[in-house]
Amino acid sequence: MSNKALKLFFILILISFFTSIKSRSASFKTKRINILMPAPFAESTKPLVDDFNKKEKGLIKLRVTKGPLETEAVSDLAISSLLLGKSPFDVILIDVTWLPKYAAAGWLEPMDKWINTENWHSLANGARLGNTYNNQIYRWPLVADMGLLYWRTDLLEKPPKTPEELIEVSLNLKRKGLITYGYVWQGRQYEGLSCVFLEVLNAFGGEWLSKESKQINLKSKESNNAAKWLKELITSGASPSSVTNFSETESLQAFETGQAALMRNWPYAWAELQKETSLVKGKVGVTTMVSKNGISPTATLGSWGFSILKSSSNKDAAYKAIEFLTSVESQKKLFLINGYTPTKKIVFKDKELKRTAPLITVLEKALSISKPRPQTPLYAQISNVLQTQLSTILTNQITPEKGMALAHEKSQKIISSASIKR
Amino acid sequence: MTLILKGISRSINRNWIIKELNFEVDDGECLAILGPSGCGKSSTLRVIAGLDKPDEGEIYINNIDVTNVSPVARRVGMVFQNYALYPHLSVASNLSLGLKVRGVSKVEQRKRVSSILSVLQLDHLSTRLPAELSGGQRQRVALARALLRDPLVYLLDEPMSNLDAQLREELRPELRRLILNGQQPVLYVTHDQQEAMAMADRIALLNNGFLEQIGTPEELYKNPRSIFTAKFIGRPQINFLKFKDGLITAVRPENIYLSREGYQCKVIYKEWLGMNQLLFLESSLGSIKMICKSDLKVNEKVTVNWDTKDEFQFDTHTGKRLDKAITKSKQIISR
Amino acid sequence: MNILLLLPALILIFIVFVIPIVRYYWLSIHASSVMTGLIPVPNNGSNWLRILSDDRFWQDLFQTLRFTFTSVTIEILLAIVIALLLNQKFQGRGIIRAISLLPWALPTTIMALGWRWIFNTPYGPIEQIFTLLGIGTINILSNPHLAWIATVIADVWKTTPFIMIILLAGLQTIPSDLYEAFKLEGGTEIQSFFKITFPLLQPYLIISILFRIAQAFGVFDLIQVMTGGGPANSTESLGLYAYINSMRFLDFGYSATIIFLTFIILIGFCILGWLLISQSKRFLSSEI
Repeated sequence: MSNKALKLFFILILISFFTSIKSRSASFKTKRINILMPAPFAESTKPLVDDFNKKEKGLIKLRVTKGPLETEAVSDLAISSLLLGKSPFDVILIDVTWLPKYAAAGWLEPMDKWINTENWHSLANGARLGNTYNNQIYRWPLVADMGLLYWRTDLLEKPPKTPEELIEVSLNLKRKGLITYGYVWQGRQYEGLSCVFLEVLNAFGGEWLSKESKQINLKSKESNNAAKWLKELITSGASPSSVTNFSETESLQAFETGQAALMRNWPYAWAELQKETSLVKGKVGVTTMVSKNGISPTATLGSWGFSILKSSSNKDAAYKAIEFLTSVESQKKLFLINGYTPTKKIVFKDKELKRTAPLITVLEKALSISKPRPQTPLYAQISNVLQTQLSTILTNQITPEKGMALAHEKSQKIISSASIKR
Repeated sequence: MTLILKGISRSINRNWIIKELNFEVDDGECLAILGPSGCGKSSTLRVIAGLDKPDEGEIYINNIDVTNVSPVARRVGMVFQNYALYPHLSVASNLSLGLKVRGVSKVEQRKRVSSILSVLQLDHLSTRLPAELSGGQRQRVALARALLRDPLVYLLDEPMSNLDAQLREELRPELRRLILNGQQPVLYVTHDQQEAMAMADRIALLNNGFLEQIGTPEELYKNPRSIFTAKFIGRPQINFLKFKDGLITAVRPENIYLSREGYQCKVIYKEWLGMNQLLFLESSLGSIKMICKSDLKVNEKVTVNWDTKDEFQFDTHTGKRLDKAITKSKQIISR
Repeated sequence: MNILLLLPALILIFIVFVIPIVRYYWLSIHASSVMTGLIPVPNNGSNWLRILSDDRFWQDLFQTLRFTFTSVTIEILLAIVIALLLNQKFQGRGIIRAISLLPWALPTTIMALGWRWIFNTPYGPIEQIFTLLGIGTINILSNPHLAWIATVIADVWKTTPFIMIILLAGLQTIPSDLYEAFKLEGGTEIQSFFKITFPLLQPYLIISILFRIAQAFGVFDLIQVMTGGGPANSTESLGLYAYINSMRFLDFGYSATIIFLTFIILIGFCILGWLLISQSKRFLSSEI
């Protein structure tokens, strides 16, 4: 090797050495945040994520990992990563029912240090629910979700208010031959069935789990009546028998094609029903669930929110990202483009929104009467027991009384034996 | 009891495996079917057993046309090359299975199996599985099964090819005692000419599916009708010498002797056979093999000769015998 | 010296088999759930007391056994028939053999989705056929008495080729001269199946039955995708129950108890199956 070539070689090595130091120092400054979201959320928040990254100019680099479509598959992915110890995610967008479980497992970082009282009260009433565990905030809501009753304005003058009315109008319309199915809802053995039941149980004045999360109350007149009414929907013909295998998708399909007069579903259905492919566009009204006279109706709360993982090494930056994604501006955009129900009070009061989208008033009301599902780390167990027994009742394997009694005993056993452990 | 084949032919995918086979096997006669591998020996046996159908021709057993009769009804006792013993069954069960499916009573089954076992001196092995037997023992079980069939015809497919040379020597007398000395015609397929000459009353030599020559071992040895037969029968192999175009002269090594007059040769190498030695000679006629008692050395010059009566003349092109009319008396053929 | 040669294999078995089983046992005598913050705490065998009175476990055991027994039986019978057919000589045999293996090559989740669609009400072809025949909808996947049969059908469709290929390999080891010898002795086709084919196939049958029992006993993905265990838990297998306990309920102590008990029961059934088959073999050969 000649002298000249040797010099060139050294210079090349020096250059590559310095450039590597430079790039390393650059990456030291950039804080990388990785959020796991179910696929639909990953898609709808993409413009916001891009805005955030532009705004931060490389100081924080936010990346969204697009999880599976189905809620439970997202949960499996999240839990698998958390069980490994060091999760690749800093933030996970979690369902309201997962929070107590994740918090109890010790995976989540309390968020109280970032959220002051003023912040907390910026949330709408219903949206504050389901974010805390043992009096600590573990989640900041992105979108609220609650059960709504969709009705056909061309077939009915006003929506039914009580359970009795609901069956009556359904049967009436069916008798007239105006529709094939009366009322469609979620009757398959899965989480959706628990959501449906909770609304009905409240409508009959019952309660699932007591406030202190110690006492199951399914062995009651109210819960028997609720279960009986769900079964009566099928036996009377107000709902089709195949509703026992319906999830949200099948319910929407039946309603969208004009086969049903009434549907229980989440706010996302509204946007679907406004599409050109919908056969009932412009003929749909939205209201809250029916309830017995003298009892106020409720809506099961199902909301998604961000939780910061304990294992994250950039928690402050992570909160910054959460703050941006859940800001008033972001919520407006998400509502207008994707129909996501806002969680901040001030968004519901926005005059422009009220004018362009009257649905927001219904959503505000529904959110204000919404109720979360039992907030216990054992929720998955007791919900699973309830779903099983309801499915057994609805498929005629057992009487409502016996089914509810069994659900009561089994759930109570789960709750009691767990508290002994503690 | 007789077995007669009339014009039997069989083809697979338009290729003739056997063509125009005609022969007769008499009571108690053993006919060896001899030939190189792929000549159609086993196919002939399978056609007779009824395992394969002939395309043409008829088969008679005891003067009854069995060409379209089921294999069972033909009542043949067949010994397979690999013995075809049922590997999951004991020796006794191997023997009784056939009796059982033919509806023989249990008592009778036991009686016949135990008597055949003692005839073959297999009593002490009756509970063993085939895998626990030696080659010779397996062969005897296979023979026993054929005997139990009480057949009209015996068909033996290379029955000793899986045994070593010594065992073969030992089993030959047993095979004669049990099967060949019986009243039934026996068809004995082999590729080993010495075995055929030793065991059979007559030999049917097959070449490419055609019957090349049929006759007593002596007749095939002394009076080959073609180059093929001359080559196949007799060991060491016959010498082919070329004196003039279009003609091949053949002389057996055992008929060549040392002489004052004759052909000049040089010893190339030799094989010592014990009783005598096999010399490989080089001469102006080509290489010559000869059997010789005296001890000659390699490279030694010798003069050899033979009697003209021991010469066979063949046509180079047809491969057929030319020198004398082949005597073909009925007597010789049938016995 | 010989032990040294075995060592790598023993270490491998230890790592992939012994350690997990011991770990499951250890977890099963601990409480390890969200209630303990996922920290294992010894709980004096209360998981074991709980499982004994957990009727869901026993119902799932019954369902798993019913699923295993039914599908393995049907699969074995079908596989024997198909293997016998494919062992015949016919035109295009190679292609047919390759095609018949396709279900086995398909990922379970994909084929389970396919079957869920086939049994779907009211759009699936099965319901359409029933409707065309005038029987009306039967809602097979939402009928607690019928849904498990749908899972058996899907499982049979998927795994019969696996047994078939083992049996086909077995059939090819049987020399044809055995059949010929038997034919000459007067045996019929049916007799030759029972006296030759069946006994000689037995090692292959034992292997495939043991394989399939173990596989079917641990069935998870097929059920998870097709029915999710419903309706009314009627199709829930022990594998699914263990999964739900760990991944949904975060109750790892109890999930380990389910897995360990299932493991013991499975070993019991494998030994039982093996004994039954070897007894039947002795019975068959002594009977001749």
